[in-house]
Amino acid sequence: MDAPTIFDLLDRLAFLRGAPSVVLLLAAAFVAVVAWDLRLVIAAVFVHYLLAGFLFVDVLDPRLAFVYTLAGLFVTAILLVTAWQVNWGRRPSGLAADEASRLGLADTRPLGPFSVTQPGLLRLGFATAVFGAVLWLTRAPGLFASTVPIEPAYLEPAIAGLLALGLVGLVTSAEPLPSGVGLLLFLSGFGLFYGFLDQSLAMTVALVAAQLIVALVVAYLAQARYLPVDVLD
Amino acid sequence: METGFPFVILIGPVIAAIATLFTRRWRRVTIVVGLAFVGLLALLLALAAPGTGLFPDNIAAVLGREIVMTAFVRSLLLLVYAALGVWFLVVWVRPAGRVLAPTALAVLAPLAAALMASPAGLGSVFLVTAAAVVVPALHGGKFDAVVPAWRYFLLIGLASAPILLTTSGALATPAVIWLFPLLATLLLLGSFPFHIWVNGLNRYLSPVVAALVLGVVQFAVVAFLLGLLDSVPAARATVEFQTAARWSAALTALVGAFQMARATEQRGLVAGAVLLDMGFLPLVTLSPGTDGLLIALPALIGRFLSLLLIALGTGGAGVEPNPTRAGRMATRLRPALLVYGCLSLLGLPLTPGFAARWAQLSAAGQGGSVWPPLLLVIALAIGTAAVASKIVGGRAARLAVEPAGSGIAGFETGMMIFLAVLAGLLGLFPDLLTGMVARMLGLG
Repeated sequence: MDAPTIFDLLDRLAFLRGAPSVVLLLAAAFVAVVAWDLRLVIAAVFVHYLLAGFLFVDVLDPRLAFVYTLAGLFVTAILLVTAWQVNWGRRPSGLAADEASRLGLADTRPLGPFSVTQPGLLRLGFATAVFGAVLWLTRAPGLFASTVPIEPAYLEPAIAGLLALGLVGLVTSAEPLPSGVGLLLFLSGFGLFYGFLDQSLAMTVALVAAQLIVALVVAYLAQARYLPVDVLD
Repeated sequence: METGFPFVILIGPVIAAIATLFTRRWRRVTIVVGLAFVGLLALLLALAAPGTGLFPDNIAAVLGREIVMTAFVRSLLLLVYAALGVWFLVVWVRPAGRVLAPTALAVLAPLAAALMASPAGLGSVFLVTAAAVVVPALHGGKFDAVVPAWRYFLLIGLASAPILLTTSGALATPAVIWLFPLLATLLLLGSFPFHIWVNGLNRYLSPVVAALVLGVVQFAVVAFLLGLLDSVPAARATVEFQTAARWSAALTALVGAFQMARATEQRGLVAGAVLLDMGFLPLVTLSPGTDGLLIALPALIGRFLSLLLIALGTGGAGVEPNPTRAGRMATRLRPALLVYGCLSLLGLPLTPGFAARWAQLSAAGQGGSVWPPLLLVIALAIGTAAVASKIVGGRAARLAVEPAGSGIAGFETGMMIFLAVLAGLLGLFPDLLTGMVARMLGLG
């Protein structure tokens, strides 16, 4: 049996294209920004890249869109290994209270069955506000009217949502991993928008490369932030 | 005619970086290898004079885009290589980590690519690559440097969006035509309100690393930015852009000055002085074309020299005085170089930093408001008072860096005298620097 081509896959998953992709994509981006367990964050980033690929098909050549998705999978793999190495965002075991304080690990406080941090609450509040704003945008499209064509109207909230959620993610945390996820979401949204301006191979490859570089820097600095030798020795 | 020569300038530094990675255990061998590669690249570049040199018409193509080495880019890269050569000599006496030499060589490739890429928007991704390459050097194995290093990278990464939007002309309605060029300028130059990484980083950064990242690397970043702004003259000429750049400069310089005033140790004082100097840089974006470059490059050369002087002027704390004659002389010279380097960062007369400072102040004064130039002068006054009371008066804890090691006191003293004489000459004759830059770049 022949392996399915990109176009076969797109035909089989046609029910996901368009508005359903946007809704699920924004939901995944929301989870990636607000979730405090890195397992959930990485899963959401993975889903976001898969669904963004469907939207890129409406903007770029399907083969280039596939390259974008593939790069997203590599980014997710890098983040997954990093998250595993930093114990999924939990504080290192055996850390004394003064060491934890020196490392700036935020104290959690109970909220019903959950325990939350102050930055976590801030992220949740901002992300919810952004989500509401994007929903409002679907009622009054035309924000990017000079660049994004009217016909695929569902792209506008996707672009605005990814840009805004990405900004929320990178502004509300100083730590490389959560902030880096925000930067990746922002670059996804920007790539989607920029696709309408420049569909060349060189620019697509450059933007894909930028995402991979961001993932590598996030991985390096997140590990440097976890169990730092110069502080704990 | 395609010669493929630009690829040599892109791949050469990467090969050099890999070579120095293998030798990084032996610090001095690494420096010699790095110096040799920089010399070789400079020689090849010198032979590549457009039209008449060994490699005329320096054009290469990749993925349907052209990489063009213009006469200006060639001259600028020669300047960068020369600066890197001097920097390597300072690293010989002021070691600052094993990854530094490979980083310094590797970053040359994306910087050259950013300057040569066509269209300019593609260059923004190479700037992100350059920022990623210097991250290990910025981090330097220090826990507290992680967040500032991340912020530095984050803001350069974010800058790619306004740069690409500027080059594409998208969303450039008359009402907001200035917005994306302004965002690109402030993000790339680390100006208010995007200065959040500067102070944090400089507190943990060795002056040697600062000379690389905020000196050598900035030559290419600022040249790229000025080229970008030259492509949108209408945006640069708007009142909004000019006013915002002036106010951002004044506020950045003020923040730097207050940090100097509050500093309790020399490290914080130097960090504030660097921020103050960075505050003046957005003012070079107000002058179009070669006028901007004639202010920017002397300003950056002044900053680079200042940081090298500070690097050589530190190292006294916790280091046993070298009993030799050269060692005693080095011990005596250190405090003087530190003070002179800090004053040069402020851009006071008779220092190399002054070459561009007057032109920057004039640019600030050409706006409608008197406040930005006034605030800049106030910042300079606060900074000068801080240097006088905290370093000369000895009220700030001294900077401690890795000692140079025994046996090189003579070389260290020689470097100190060489840089002090060079800085003194450039301070006495500010036109020398501006004229040299003009001739070197074929602008004058």
